[in-house]
Amino acid sequence: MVSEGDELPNPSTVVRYVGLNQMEHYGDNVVGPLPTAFEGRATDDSLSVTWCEYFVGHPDHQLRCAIETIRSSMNVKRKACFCVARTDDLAAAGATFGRAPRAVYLPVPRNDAHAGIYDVMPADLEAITEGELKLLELLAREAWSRFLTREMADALPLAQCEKSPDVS
Amino acid sequence: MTYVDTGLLGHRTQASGGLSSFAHTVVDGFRRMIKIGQAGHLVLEDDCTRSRVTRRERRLEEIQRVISSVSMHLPKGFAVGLNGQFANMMADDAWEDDDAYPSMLSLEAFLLMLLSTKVTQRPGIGTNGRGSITAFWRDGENRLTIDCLPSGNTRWVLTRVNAKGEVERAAAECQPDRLCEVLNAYGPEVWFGQ
Amino acid sequence: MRYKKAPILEAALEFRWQPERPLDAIRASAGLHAFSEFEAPKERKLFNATLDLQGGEISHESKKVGFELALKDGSQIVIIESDKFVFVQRAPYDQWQTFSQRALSLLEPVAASLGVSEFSGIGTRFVNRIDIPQVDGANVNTDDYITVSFSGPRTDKGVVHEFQMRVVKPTLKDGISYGLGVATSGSLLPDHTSIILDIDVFTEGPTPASGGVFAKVLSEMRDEKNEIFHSCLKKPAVDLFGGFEE
Repeated sequence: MVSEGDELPNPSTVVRYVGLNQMEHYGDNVVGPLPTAFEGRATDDSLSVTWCEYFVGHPDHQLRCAIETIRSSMNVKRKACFCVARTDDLAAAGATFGRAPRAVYLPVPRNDAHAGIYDVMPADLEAITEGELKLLELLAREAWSRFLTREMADALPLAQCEKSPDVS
Repeated sequence: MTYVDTGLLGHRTQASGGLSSFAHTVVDGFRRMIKIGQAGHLVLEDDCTRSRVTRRERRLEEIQRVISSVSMHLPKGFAVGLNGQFANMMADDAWEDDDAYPSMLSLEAFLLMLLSTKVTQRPGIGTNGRGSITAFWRDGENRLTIDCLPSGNTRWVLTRVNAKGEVERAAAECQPDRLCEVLNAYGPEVWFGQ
Repeated sequence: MRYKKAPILEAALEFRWQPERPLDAIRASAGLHAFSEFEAPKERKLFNATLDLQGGEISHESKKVGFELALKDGSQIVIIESDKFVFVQRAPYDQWQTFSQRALSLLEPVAASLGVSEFSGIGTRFVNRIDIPQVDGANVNTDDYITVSFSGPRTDKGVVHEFQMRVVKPTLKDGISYGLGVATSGSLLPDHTSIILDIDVFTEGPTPASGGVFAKVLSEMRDEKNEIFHSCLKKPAVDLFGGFEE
């Protein structure tokens, strides 16, 4: 049973909303996320994500539910993307640079499936170190390389989006 | 050194019958004149400005104007292409409402980066959401990302497959005019062109 | 032909008429098919504020005077007001033929829709910026690059660090005058100094809105503009333009 403040089961799948201007794109051809997509915000102490396994069902259903939750919780731009990662991949990437990323269940208003990834953001966004830049690049290139455009997200099967019985 | 404002430009000619001295003109063709009117009255006249122009649209115009003004030092077609890219970047369907607009110092760093590296291939562009302009190039698995910051510096990170097929990653922060030198070890021609 | 590094920052053509046309007619002209490539027109307003120095009261007044349209990439701007049409081409500038044809292709339907058969004034303005590299950080001697120079009451040491001047006078062509602004300016390029040449050639009398006389006046204005530009420059300045591009 996962409660607020608990680490997510490993591996879990998480989705992050990424605006087009933090996606590598050439015209309408979107290639993948840029390192800047995972810098986070100075006001946050963890990287904001939505936990797919909060919902029951097939992984595609869970992913669609996570995306619909994001869509209902914020102003989603038409050209924005949804990047997908597994928590074990995040942990492995972090370990390369001496970090120990962990995903914690942190529900917020309008997003009950919200989670935060700790120990993955740069310590100081105004003075990102060489190691942190390389980590961000590795995260973008490998751990977060899967992404969905609006059209790809809309093509996922719709589901009821029921909460998993494993979440309290 | 004091400078004549070069932001003016020829939105009005002497045919208007009014003052056309560029020294009196300020950015965006927005002219302000103070004159003594009837006795005891000071008349402040702001020559035509546009209604319903958002701050985002105004910043985009500033960016496009600056890029246009250095177009003669960029490869042919660069300025028009970049201005179209900035228009797309700051369009309603792409711009995130919480993001800070690209700062003019970031733009200066961005242009100095383009000029100093002598790129012939136009980069993709984005922002870190805190006023930067992010430039990126890709050649197969080789990717270079340069974030041009509001501090005037650049922060770059690259992934490069070397001659042995090994993946190398490198990153640093430096002044834009140093980029050419510091990137030289990684064969930047795959991104910048010859 | 054009210079590879043409120094033109912005070129404008302006056509004025009398009497003023009503705002509704201006709005309709801004919606013509000719502007289908442009972003939606934005209203232009004239603001006036008057301060009563004795009473300390401020009064405001704003008046809608027309519309402004721009291409998405910002390279071309059109202003249509109750008494004028302005076409602006930002750098990069191609050549007069392309520039004037584009301006006229947008002007003609506007003039037709507003019933303008005569222009009370025509102006063309070219703002140039010549970027000159500094050698070893030394001040650029503008006398090496342009023919406009300072002749003051004293002979001091060194070169002029900065200056600005402006003249307005008639040309040798009847009814055509010009304004010429010359000034030093900062440059975005590191270790450069810039010289601005702002050339504004304009008519001082009515001109038919079409036909041979109109074409002749435009051609003469262009010739004057070119002549003024080239007569301002010395060879080292022209050499900075990178030669001609076919």
